[in-house]
Amino acid sequence: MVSDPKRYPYSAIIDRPPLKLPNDARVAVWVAPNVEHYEYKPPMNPHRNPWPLRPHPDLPNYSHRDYGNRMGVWRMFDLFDKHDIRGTVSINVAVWDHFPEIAEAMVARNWDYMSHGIYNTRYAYAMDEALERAMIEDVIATTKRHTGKMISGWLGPALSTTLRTPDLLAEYGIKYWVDYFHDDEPTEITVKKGRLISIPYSIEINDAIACGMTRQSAETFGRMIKDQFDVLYAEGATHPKVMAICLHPYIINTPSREKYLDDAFAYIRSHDQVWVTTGEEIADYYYAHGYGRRLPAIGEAA
Amino acid sequence: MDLTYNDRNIHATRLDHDHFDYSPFVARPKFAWPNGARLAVIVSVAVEFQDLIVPEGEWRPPGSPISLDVRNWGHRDYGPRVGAFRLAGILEPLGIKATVPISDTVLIRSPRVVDYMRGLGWELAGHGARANRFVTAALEESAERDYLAASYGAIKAATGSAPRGWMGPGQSESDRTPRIAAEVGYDYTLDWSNDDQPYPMHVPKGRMIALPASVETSDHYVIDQRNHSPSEFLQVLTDHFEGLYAHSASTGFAMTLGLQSHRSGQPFRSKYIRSLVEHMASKEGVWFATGSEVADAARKALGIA
Repeated sequence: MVSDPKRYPYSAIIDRPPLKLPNDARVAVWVAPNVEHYEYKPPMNPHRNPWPLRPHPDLPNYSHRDYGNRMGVWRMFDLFDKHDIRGTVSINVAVWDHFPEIAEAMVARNWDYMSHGIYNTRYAYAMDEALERAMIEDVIATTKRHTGKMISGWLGPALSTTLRTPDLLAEYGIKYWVDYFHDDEPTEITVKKGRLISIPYSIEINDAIACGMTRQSAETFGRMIKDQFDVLYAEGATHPKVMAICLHPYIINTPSREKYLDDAFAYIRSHDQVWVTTGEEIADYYYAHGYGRRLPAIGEAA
Repeated sequence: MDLTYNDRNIHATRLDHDHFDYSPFVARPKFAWPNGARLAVIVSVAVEFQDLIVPEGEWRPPGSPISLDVRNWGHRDYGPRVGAFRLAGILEPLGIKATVPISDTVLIRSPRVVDYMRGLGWELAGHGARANRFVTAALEESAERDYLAASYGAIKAATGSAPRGWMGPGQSESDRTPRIAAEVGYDYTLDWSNDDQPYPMHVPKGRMIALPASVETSDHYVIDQRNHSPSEFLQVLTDHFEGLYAHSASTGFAMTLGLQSHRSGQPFRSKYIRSLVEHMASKEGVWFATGSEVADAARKALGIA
């Protein structure tokens, strides 16, 4: 029975020295669209039924998500280009194998790639070490093949991880991990070998949660993004913060919702002292300027 | 789980099934509706009936009551008795002909509403015997074929014309449904929520085209599942319409306004439905059409049979 994964010591935000960001930025904003592939008839997993509401296929839920790769991603590219935002794609790498033109569009824009596993209907729950290593190696190799780049960060497929995940990520040279949602600043993660940090991703400023799960309107979601920004920007005058905007093209890049995101992006871009950047750049900056210098020392992995 | 758990499942369609091809929007030619229209709108008014007691052993959606379900049975029956007529009162003055997914039982039990809708030029679509009897993988192939064929035959018997469209009860399908629907004689479906333009499906016999029918524009998703109020429903649908209308300056799109007659036909909701369709009808280039009209025009625009 594990009640605490013991991956970082407790740290009260008020006890920490200010986070350093480049050019006196008050907030580092990174935007992570989740570009996903949900399967029509996925393999069953003993820990989670990918479509629990009816015998497979679940047509409303499957086809709703399929909109993302047919229609939504193309509107996503237009919107990000309009606001000069480089996305950090939370990518199910199978998307690129199915639809290489989506990889091409991302490479043309020099986006950052954060793994979201292979398919969003295949989970890491109860993967043994060999299978989890095979998944990580596959993701690295697939990313290299389609983009020429190393994946920089990791978010579990459908948010699924194992207790050994951070050790493996550090071993394979992945820079940052985002499955904790536990802070507004990067955290140093205890791993067996190498280094790993978490950077703030969000289970709140996230359209799948806000619009999909808790059923807020898109207008409310747009306001949430701006309100989040306002508070972190105010705090950031003395204590800079990191803000993630977590999106899904099949949700936010639909005709009824996209204008609220457009408005929120314009609002953020209208402020000075904002570093609109990628997950990798945030991680690199933290490793160079903050790692080992501002938080309690991390212990050895249990 | 062994190492094959990470394997890909990529078919010739580039999807993990064979029903249609992957088609990225960015690679499509311009899509042209007739008469210079830019946005086709199908108003779907489902008129349904459900079982009072679900037969033993039959699959039922999660959360369904186990025994006598009077409250949902009665609630659903509001549609053919009242809701359909209220919605007709909104659509008819605007000259909008609805497409009507209709439970087989309504055809037999309530011919008055059937004749009324036909008199307005509305088009009936196959929708299964009862709203609670989903098409699922649990059905044998022959049972599924009988189920779709029963709706086809019931509409033909009641109206003299065979239906062309199919919408599964609860938007339900098995992985055989596109093939079976085409074999039975349907040639368009309102079951797929993955596109803003029509696209052809691969079926070995007959033909099948998927028309845009997003969950995002259906009262079942927006009101029943996402708990939006009627005014929020109006806001969401207006935003969707306006957003798609703006995009349609460069190429044609379509949307289905999915209404359940027992929900959107309620008095307090109907006034917002009226506001919505009146707003849509006021815009240049909006083409209110039935499923058959959209299917025919789409095939012509795509250059397919």
